[in-house]
Amino acid sequence: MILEAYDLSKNFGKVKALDHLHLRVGKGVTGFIGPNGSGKTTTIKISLGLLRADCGIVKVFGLDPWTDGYKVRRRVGVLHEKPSFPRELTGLAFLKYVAAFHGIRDREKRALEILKNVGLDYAAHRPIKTYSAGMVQRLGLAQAIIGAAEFTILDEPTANLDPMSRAEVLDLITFLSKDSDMNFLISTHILPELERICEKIFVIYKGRIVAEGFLDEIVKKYVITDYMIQLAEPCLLAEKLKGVDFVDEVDLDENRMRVYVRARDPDALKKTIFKLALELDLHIISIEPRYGLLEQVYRKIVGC
Amino acid sequence: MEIVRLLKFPVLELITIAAIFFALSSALNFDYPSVTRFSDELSPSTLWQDQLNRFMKNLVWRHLAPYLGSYNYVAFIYAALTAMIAGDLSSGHMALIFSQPFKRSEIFMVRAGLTFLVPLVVYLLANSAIILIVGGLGCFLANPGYTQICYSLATTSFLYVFSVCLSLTLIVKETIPSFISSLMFLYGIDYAARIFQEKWVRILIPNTALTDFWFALGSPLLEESPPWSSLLTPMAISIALIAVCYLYFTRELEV
Repeated sequence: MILEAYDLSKNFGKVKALDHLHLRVGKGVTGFIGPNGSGKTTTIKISLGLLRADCGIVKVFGLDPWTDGYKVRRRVGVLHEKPSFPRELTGLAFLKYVAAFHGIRDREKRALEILKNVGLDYAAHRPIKTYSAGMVQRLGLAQAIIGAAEFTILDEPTANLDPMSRAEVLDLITFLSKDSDMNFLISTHILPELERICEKIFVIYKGRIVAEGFLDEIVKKYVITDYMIQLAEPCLLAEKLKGVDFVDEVDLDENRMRVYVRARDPDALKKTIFKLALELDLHIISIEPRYGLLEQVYRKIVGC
Repeated sequence: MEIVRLLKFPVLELITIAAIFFALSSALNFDYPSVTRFSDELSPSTLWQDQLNRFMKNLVWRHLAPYLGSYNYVAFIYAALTAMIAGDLSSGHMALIFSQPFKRSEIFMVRAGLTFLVPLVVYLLANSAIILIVGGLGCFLANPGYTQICYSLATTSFLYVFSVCLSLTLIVKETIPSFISSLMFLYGIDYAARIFQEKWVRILIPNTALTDFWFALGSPLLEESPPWSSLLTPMAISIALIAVCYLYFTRELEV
């Protein structure tokens, strides 16, 4: 195990940030999902020795990050949620400093290589204060991976990025994980991207881990119940489905020719829709989960 | 990286301009006749070398003991520079530094050390330059021991103000409140130093202790040993505060 936390609790005044949290992060790319304020960043900060837990044990590579922070940080890279970089330095100069911190010899070469990897090589010689929010985010990712640490923690790595940039960053993480044997813990509340790259996920809610496991296991455990049906006659289908006993909720979106259904038995729902389609001569265009796979699981777990 | 940040435009420029301003204003306000009277009272000798030596000594004393004329400089510069540390704590920059492979003690030494040394060195260089311009190298060569004592007093007074500002910064952890609380505390204690006249109270207040030491240094009656005991309070308070800051920064500070 890379990161292990047992019975971890942390309060900020009267606010309970972590509530007896248990976490075991191994190799590969692990997702850490939860709504804002659920305790993701607090867990990350405790794992880096930036915050001290009120009670419980946390170990990173078998070391206590609070007392052995230096040894832990030598093996861990991190991108913080709202990174603050020295604005007067250029991106290249900043990365050369970070490379020096990690004891890299050919700093300029390594810094340029990483800047190219994150798509920031064209702005290498510009001061950071001239960077856009997305560029700062890319620079943050660059400083997190420049040391090729065994374990890299990324707190909201795709925040402020446009869809194209998000895809590039996710591809880079996948590439580094497979080709450079780097391990990642990715904290986010943007779920579709985790589906693409994570092998294992932890769902945190109100300071507790409420679900964990490999993605397919979790999907099986929390059966998908929300579907979106697109067809030419949405009103007719919606009317018919309202009377079905295992259907809990039916929403109609006439303008977009869609019916949203929440059902307790998804298999029976699909059979019923096909039966109705034959009987009523409905022209069904598609039936698919209403939300992304992980989003649906997540909604079910946190009850929204 | 921290040196670059601390010396970035316009921080170093402002520190330097302020130091030169105070050094020059001190030189312009220099009371030359009183120096001569001073010397006459002490010794009946009218040898010009003796008078010149006393003039030089007075010049060094006036310029290198910053506590009276340059209290504004010391207070404002340290309040502002330590407020930058508070800004780094609140903005997340310190979290970035703490996440790098450094020991906390190293971060403290670099950050606190630079914050303390840069204004001190700039101040001493600016004032030494003015002394050189006005009195020439002879000012330093005529009284090397005395010059060292004046440098020590300057360092002690800077250390005291710095330690107060750093402590308040680590308590407040926000830029503007840190700056304001440092100034309020420093001017508050300076005011207290002016109104309390009892000797035992004056010894306990660092500002008065430093001022008394400064006046003692400038006294014509002082020929050999300065009253080192009056420096004990500011030294002890400074060292204690910095030690507490160090322990807090390395063992307790959460970012």
